[in-house]
Amino acid sequence: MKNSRQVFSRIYDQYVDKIYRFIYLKVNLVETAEDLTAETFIKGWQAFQIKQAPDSDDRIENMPAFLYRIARNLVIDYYRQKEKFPISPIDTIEDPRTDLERKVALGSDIEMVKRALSQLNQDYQDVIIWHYLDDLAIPEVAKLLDRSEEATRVLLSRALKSLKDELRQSV
Amino acid sequence: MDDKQLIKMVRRLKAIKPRNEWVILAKKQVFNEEIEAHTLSIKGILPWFNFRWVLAPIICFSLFFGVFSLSQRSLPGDFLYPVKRVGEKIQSRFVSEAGKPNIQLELADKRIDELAKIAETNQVKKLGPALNELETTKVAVKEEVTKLVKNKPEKEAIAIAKGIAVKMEEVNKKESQVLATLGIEAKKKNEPAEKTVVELLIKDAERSSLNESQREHLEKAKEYFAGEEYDQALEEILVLSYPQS
Repeated sequence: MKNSRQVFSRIYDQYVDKIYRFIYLKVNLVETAEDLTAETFIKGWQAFQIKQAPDSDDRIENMPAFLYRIARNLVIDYYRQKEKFPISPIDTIEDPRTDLERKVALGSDIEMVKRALSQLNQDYQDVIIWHYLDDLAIPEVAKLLDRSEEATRVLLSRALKSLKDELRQSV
Repeated sequence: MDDKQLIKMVRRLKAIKPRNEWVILAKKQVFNEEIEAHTLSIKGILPWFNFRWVLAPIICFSLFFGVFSLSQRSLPGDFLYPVKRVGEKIQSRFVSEAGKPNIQLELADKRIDELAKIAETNQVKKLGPALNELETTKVAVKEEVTKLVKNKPEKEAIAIAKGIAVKMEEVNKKESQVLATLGIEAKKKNEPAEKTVVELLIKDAERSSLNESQREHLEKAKEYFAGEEYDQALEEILVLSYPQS
C-alpha cells in the first residue's frame, strides 16, 4: 500500500503538468482545469490501487494513456453537464487578473494559437496536444485514439491544416 | 506560415503550467480522497449510514468524558468540582439501598482526602467549601443509615450496622487526624449516624455471651454513648464485636 502510494506519487509528479495542460487547452478556464486535473488523479489513484493489486488480471500497461483516457472522459462529461445546465454569462467570464497573468506569461502569439486550437474538434486537439506538446509517438497516439497509425498520421496532418486555417482567420 | 513554424508555435504552448501551490495541494487532496472513498464504500453497504450521526455523539461523548476525567482531580471551590459531585450523585443512584450507606462513607472518605490535599497545598480559600462538602456528605451518611434501619426488624438492622461500622470508624479516625493538622476540632452532632449504629451494636452485644474483658468494653461503650461520645463508643464496641489481636 505504502509502496503503491510512492509509485503513484511519482506518476503524479511526472504527469500532472501534462494532464493539466491537456485539460486546460480544452476547457480554457484555470479553475475548471485544476478541478478536472485533480479529479483525474483521484480517479486514477483509486483505479491504480485496484488494478495494480497482486491478484489483479487487469493491470495498467500504459500509464499516460490510462490518465489521458480519464481526463478525456472528464472533459466530455464537463461539456455534457455544461449543455445540460448552461452556465450563466457571469460564470463564464474569467477572472481578469488570471487572464492578465496568463497573457503576460504566455505572450499574445501563444494566446492566439491556444484560441485557435480550442476551435478545433476534439480529435484534432488531442492529436496535436499528444504528439507535439506531450511528445507521444504516433503509435502511442494511435492507441489512445483507437485508430491505425496511418489513420493517425492523416488525422495529424488534417489537424495541423485546420489549425493553420483557424490562425489565418484570426489574424 | 509553413508547418515547421506552426509546430514551433504549438510547442510554445508547453509554457502552460499549473500553479506550483495548486500542484502540492492537489497531490494532498488525491491521497486524502482515500478516506472519502472509504466513506463512500460504507455508504454503499449501509445507505442510511451518516458520518455526522456517528461523529456527533462520539465528539459529545469525548468532550463529556474529557471534562468528567478532568473534574475527578478537582477540589471544592474549583470550576469543575460541581461536575465531579454530579457524577458521584449519578453513581450512587445505581447502588442498591443496602449499599448506599457504604457509598456515602466512601464519599466522606474522598472529602477527607480532598481536605488533606487542600491542607497540604495550603489552599486556604478552598478550606471553607471543603469543610462544607464534608459536612454535607456526613449528613447524607446519616440519612442513608437512618433510612436503611428504619422500619427494619432489629436483627436485620443490626446486620446492616455491623456491615458499615468498620468503615465508619476508619472515616472518623481519618477525619480527626486531618482536622487536627488543620487545628480544627470536629463538631459534635446531635444525632449523628454513629449514634444509630452504636445503639444497634450495643443491643446486639448485650444479648451475646461475653467474657470479662468484652463486658468491660461494652460498659465503656455504653458510658461513651450516654455521654454522647459516639465516635469513642463506636471504637469500643468495635473492639468487642471484631476482636483485634
